[in-house]
Amino acid sequence: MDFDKSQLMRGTLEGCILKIISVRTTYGYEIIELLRTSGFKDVSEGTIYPILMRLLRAGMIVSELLPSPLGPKRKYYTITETGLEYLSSFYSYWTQLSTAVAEIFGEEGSCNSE
Amino acid sequence: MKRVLKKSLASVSQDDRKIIRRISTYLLSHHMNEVVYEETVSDLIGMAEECRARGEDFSQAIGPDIEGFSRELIKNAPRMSWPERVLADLQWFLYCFGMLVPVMYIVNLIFTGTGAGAQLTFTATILTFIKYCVVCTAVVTGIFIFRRRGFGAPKLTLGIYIAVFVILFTVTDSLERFVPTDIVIHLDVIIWVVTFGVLLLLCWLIRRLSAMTTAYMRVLGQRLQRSFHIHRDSGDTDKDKDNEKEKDNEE
Repeated sequence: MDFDKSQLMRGTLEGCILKIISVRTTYGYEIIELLRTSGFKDVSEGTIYPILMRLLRAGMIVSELLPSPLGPKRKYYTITETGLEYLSSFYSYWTQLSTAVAEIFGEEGSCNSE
Repeated sequence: MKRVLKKSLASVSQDDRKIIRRISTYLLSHHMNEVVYEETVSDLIGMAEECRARGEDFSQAIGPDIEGFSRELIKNAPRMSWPERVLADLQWFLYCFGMLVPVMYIVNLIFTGTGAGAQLTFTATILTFIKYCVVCTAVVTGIFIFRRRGFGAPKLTLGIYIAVFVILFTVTDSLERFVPTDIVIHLDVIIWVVTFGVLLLLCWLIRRLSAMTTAYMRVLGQRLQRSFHIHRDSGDTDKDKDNEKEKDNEE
């Protein structure tokens, strides 16, 4: 049976996108490129746009329309205080979770029962 | 949709326009807040334009599952309130019903010359109005159902609609037996048009104000919360400084 990646991706991507925005004010395509170079190969506008909208509505990021060299105005995203708080709690939980997963799977990441 | 949006939608390629239209139909039929809807469509148009400028395919950027993408968009978005929904349907109804007299007047003018047209009055039996009212209701309900059908409306809803439509058609057809046909209504075309125009404008204005309030109140609330948070933090640091000073003095 194939593993459903989307469930795991959704929550993880939210934190990663927030982290990228926390480094500097950025726009959608730049976020996608950064995610792709970091290893999220299947990411596209269709994946990140709903997440950005969710973050925007939750008040974790704010957007601003600025001129772009490619023609239409681009939406640039900046993190807010709420977003920073969320990011720090996301990261602490993620560390806790990844340690727990690594503990269960072992150092080699093997899933075979001995 | 705003005129500016329609204009920019016309500037994107036909394939991209089809995708944007499918998404916007889904968002509208699932009652997304009007202001948020316009913002989303504007974002999608910008996305399509950027894709074209980069030489990429917009359909690939959105992905093959357009319904899934639209569902994700609507999930956390503010929706239309009940009064807004009622006003939206009422607006369609007023539009359909308001067209009756001017259209019939023009048809009269074309076919009978200046006879009835010279007085700017439209005369019809009460039965015609009842029949037209029934047709308007059916059209408005049909618009709503067939909009949703693009993504597979529940078969039961579609079945009920068709059944109600057939019953209404039969009932309307047999109305002549119950409604006296000698009751005739004389209407002034200008008064009719102005009245419906004002009613439509009022409906639109209330709906728009309500949508704007819903969309901006949330943003305003978050901003207020944020500024309160910052003030509280700065207040805390001032208090901390005062406490430190007091401690220094005591020492």
